[in-house]
Amino acid sequence: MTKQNTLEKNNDFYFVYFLILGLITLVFGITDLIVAITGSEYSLGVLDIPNDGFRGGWGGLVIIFAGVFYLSGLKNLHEIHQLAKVMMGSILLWIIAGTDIFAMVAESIPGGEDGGWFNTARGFWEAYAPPYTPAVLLLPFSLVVISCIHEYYKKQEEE
Amino acid sequence: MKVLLMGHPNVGKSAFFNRLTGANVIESNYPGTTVDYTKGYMRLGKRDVEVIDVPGTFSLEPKDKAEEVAVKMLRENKGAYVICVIDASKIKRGLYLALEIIEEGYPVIIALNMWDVAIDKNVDVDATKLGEILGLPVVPTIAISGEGVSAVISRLEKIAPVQVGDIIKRTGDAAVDARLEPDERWRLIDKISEKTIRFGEYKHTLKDAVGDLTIRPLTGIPVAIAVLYGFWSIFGSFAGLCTDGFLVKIFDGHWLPWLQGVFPGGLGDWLYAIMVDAGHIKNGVLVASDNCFESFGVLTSGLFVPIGVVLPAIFIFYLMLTLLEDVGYMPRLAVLIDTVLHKIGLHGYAIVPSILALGCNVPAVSATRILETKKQRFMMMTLLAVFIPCGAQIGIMQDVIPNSIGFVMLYLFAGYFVFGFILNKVVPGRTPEILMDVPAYQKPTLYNVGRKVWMRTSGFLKVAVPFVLLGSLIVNILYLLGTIDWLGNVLAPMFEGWFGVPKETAGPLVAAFLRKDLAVAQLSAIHMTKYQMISAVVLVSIYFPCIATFALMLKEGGKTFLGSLAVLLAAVFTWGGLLHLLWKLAGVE
Amino acid sequence: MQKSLDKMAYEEEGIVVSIDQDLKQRVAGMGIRVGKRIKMLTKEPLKGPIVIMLGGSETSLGLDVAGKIIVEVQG
Repeated sequence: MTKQNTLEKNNDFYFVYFLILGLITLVFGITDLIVAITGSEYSLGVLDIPNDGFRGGWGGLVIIFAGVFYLSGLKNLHEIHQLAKVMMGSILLWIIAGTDIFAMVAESIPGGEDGGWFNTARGFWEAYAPPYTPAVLLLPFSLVVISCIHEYYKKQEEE
Repeated sequence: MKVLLMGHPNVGKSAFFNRLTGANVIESNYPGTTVDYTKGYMRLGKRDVEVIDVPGTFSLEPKDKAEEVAVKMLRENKGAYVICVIDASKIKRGLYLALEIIEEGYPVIIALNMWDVAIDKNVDVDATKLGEILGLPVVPTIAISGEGVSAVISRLEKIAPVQVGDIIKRTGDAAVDARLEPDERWRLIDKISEKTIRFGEYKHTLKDAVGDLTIRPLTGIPVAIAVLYGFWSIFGSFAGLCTDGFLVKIFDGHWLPWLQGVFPGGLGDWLYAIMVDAGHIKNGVLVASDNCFESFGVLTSGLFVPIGVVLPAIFIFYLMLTLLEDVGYMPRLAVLIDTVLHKIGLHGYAIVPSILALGCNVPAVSATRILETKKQRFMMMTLLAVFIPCGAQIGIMQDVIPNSIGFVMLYLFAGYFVFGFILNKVVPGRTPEILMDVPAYQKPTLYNVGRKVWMRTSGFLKVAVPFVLLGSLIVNILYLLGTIDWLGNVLAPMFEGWFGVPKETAGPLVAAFLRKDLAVAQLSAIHMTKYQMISAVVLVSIYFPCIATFALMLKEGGKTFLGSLAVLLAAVFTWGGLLHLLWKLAGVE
Repeated sequence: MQKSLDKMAYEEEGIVVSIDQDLKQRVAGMGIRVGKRIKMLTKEPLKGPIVIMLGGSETSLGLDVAGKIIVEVQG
């Protein structure tokens, strides 16, 4: 395969990947919003959708934005401004997932109202077990953007 | 001998300053202004020399008050040595200021900073040749890593003033004697750069593309919404962790009982009541309190609130705010929001005190210094004291009225804008147009961030704690004397008739002068409908800033303080009364 | 074609031909001067400030300020 073909193949892969990721992110975000507005709970296996106005509503809105960023950057992915849009989608997911994780950590440490100073060892670990919020689930998938950027810079240096 | 560090904002002057100076650094205020600067000492040869980090300025023709101070500081230190710090990737602009300083006759050494960024952007500067033409040392530096800084220090003592005429001659033109006009200065810079700088193809990096995304409205606004979400989420988690997780336990479980046991006197004794625990009536008997909220004592509540509740809140606020500033996001946020804020006569940068106020009103009032005109500072101070609830209040609101808190916040923000609009029309003075540099994103340095957060947090502690203690003392005395109850009875008709809240709210409302969060907690004990509760909480939020904010407004605002009070009273009556009207219209009680 | 800076369209480029006298000094230090190539990056909605690119630096200006700078637009 010529170098050109390899690059094109890579481009196709990323295109399809972020298309799917973008759509899933969008769906998660919309679901978040709906759950927050209707006030119902929704838990499915590893997924746990928060139903409070803040994480679900505001957070859900941001996840929708992330999905839109992914999808808007698809065309001409190797162009720097489009790549930046895809990266922004991931960054938005990192903000939500990051703050969700920080919230998990903050809740896992203290012993709570009735407990002692610190949480029990078991309580500590339990706090990190699934189910997780949508953004945390999407987190590993959002990291692919890093390899995409890496390839972009490699290509730049070769030129 | 003094050393002045001059340059544009955002060129790494602070990082440079940190490299030069030791731990003995003081933040000062330029008298008669709201502009602050830092100074310290550096080791030069065998002696310690004073170094001043002069506020960033684009030229010696000032366009705002910070620049005015910069120019004054230069002219007041005639014998000073000037280190001109220039962003090497934007070197031509930097040379403009450098030339102005040279023309004034000061000995100058140029620190060509952010050298690494220049290389990334294909800006190739022949520093040696540039130094030859200018007749002074030009040293490439990367302040955040420290590269080049010692070279600058070692050449500092030997610099001497240069004649602009000589520089012009070295570029091949005929010498000019008088001070240069802006156009002439630029012509000179163009000639110099022809000989010494090669601009390669301007490469748009990923950082630039992200910079674009975050300032264009279509993409920038979603990003801002996400950033503010992140800000808020971390604030909530951190404050919850510190306050509910640990500090409440320390104060309620240990400090309070210990004090209750150790302090002379006992329940019912007046000094004990003021300092430790006023107790409360349960089933007709006076019982001790079991938490620092209700106990009301100067040493209990008075210490718990600033340290247990507010301190973690403002620490995390300052930390995140400083990170956002140092990364370079704030100017972009200010540009995005300027549209909206300008409609009410405020500058985009007013977003900073507004956000800060959500953590605590006290530092927010100090932060209003960054605004240009008196009118803006007055408006900002008043609006935030009246309409922006502080972290402590918000926390209690979340506890007491979790379902209505969204509505309350929206109603308050609406008040912010409505009153902002009115104040803008009524208060004399102009709002200057925005003219702002938008720097590229940069990696924040741990040292810088740490130092800023430390200074800001300790500043808060020094100001707020004494005032809250004082306020606790005053309110407790007033309670004991029965003044509060008396006031409550006098004002009860107004509360019931105009605001539509039960008369028992009068007590907490009056006491809210000291402690708004406590007032909200007290309100929850009173029997009233959901809508009355919302009105009562809104009233508590609007009607008086807490005593620490009050004191700071007096100090920072001076005479305008009376104006703020007037606005406050107007807001309470109209905005508070409006809510009652809305309920009536909606047909609810 | 000449336009004032506040009337430029997205991504339009041009050369600065004149700047109001009282504004000249204030913007000179930021790099805005006659003869310099300037590019309009974005406008903020509701008559908000505009952002321009000039000599590798980005600057944000209010509409009133931008109205005092005249640009010879290309393309």
